[in-house]
Amino acid sequence: MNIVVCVKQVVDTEHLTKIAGGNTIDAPDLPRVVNTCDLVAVEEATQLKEKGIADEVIAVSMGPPSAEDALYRCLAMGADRALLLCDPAFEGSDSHATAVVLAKAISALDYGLILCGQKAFDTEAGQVGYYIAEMLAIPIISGVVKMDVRSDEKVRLHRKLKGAYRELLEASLPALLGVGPVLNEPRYVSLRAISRAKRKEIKHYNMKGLGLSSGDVGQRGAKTKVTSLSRPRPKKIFVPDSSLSAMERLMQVESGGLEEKEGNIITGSPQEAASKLVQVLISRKALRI
Amino acid sequence: MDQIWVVLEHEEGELDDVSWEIVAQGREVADKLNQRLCAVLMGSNIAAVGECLNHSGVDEAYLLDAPDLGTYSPELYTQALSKLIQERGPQTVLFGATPNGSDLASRVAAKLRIGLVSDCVALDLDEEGLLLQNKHTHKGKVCSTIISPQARPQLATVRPDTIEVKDLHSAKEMKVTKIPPQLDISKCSIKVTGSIRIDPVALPVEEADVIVAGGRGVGSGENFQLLEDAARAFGGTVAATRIAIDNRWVPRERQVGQSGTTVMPKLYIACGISGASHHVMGMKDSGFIVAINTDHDAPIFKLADVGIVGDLLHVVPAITNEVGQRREAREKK
Repeated sequence: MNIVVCVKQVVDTEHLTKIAGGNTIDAPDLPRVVNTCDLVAVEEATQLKEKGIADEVIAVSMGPPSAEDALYRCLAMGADRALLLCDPAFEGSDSHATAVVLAKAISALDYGLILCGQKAFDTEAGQVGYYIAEMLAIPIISGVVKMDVRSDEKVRLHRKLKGAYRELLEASLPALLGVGPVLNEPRYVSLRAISRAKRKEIKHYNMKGLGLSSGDVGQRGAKTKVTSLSRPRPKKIFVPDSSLSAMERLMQVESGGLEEKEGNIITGSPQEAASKLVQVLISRKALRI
Repeated sequence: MDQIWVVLEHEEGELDDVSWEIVAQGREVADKLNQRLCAVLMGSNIAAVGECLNHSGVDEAYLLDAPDLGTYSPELYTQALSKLIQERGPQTVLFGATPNGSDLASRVAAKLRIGLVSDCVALDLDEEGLLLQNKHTHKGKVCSTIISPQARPQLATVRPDTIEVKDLHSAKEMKVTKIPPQLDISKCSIKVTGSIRIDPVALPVEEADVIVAGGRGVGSGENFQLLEDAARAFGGTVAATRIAIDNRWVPRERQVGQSGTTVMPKLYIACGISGASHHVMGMKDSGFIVAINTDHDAPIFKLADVGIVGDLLHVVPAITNEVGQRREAREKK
């Protein structure tokens, strides 16, 4: 069984300090990294190969030529080969248009399992996998926190529900799984391993090579459109009241200028206090019995 | 008249909080656009759940009632809802951004090949009545406004706790339409075999709804066991301040504060924590804060919704006990 892993190269948000304006993050200088959950997917695929369950691991990415770096990292981690789907016509793609391209490329491969990160940390949509699975007519489960592939026919999974609850599922293969960050710890790859991986060739496919037309991809294939980007509300900067004494101002700064709540102090013996507290928590819906 | 739909989730005969939130949000949008607000309920024997929606501003409820829909089945729910959407053609469909709500919305969007904007924090309308769907992206560093220009319906999931539910009461009688869903079980390739609850104490601090946190006042690693017991009773996990971490009472990944993790649980119980700003910065946005400390002048009390002045070594076990007893009493009923 071969495993296809979809990966996305994203802007490293740690270094994102300003937005150019308009509807794209125009940040050519910012460092780019492989999306966190996608590395988890590559790690899982590599481990399945090491266990002898998977034969070949194929990393696929849609992105600009610079996304080669992301694929070299996947190769260094243990992927056998990599495909880069790259065409200026793909620009402006949303989740749907991206899935059209990825599904088309994957449909030409021989696969038993497709792994994706459950969401990319730039758009935080988590939707591409669902579209791909629908286009390929295979089952999808996203939010996977534990998985067990025993044979070529079936996979057993845990999916994250609310709080500490987990749903237990079984799906027939081939299937697409959107994996969560807790599934495993992606291995460390050295620079040497990455430079060794660069000896491998990454196959490039453009729109024509995939047999797609411009009506399917980019903005024309998109179902949603970003109209504007902004910074979330800036954090309020605290300025102490100048009429206060220096000591009081210092104390305010020390506390971070937080507003005081009118806290209720509960008194009594530990048992009485506990009983009153639990009553308050239930009435304020902070606790359900 | 055009319709806006809200797809509601319920548990043990009661609607989830996020369901009421999207009802409120849906009513607001429906009023602005002069549309009908319709609620979709799926499940088994759900007539009573539908009734509790009456007089809350919903114009019509669609009840998809079938034994096979008794628990969430990804494929059957998708079949039933997609079909209803295709038949009745709503302009907009809202879901709660819960694990199941998000999953269902994503599946319906894929099946109908339409757009979806997930985890919205605010919904607005432009001049033409298009839904402006606002969400946080890039790990919360950017706020994106997204539209679904053509494909209908516009699909959005709404993050829980972002909409304040005001009084929804309305004198209008809600119409109830029962629709027997036609389900094709043979098409299912995913089997839900059950669900489990993992030990909540093992949850990462970012994921926990309830956190029982300890500081210097806890005194020792052994005493943290008391906090762990309380956390388990509340279905939450344990966290600590820097000093408790440095003393190796608790593993480092459980540190909350400026040099640790920032958390926003629904309930935060601070035990033996004075309230230094380094710690407070990591938990101040918690839904409800309880402070337990022997020093009644501790700054943490100013931040707390409820405070108890007392020795946590006695108070915390008493709380654990109290919660346990109430649970037992309820189960006996």
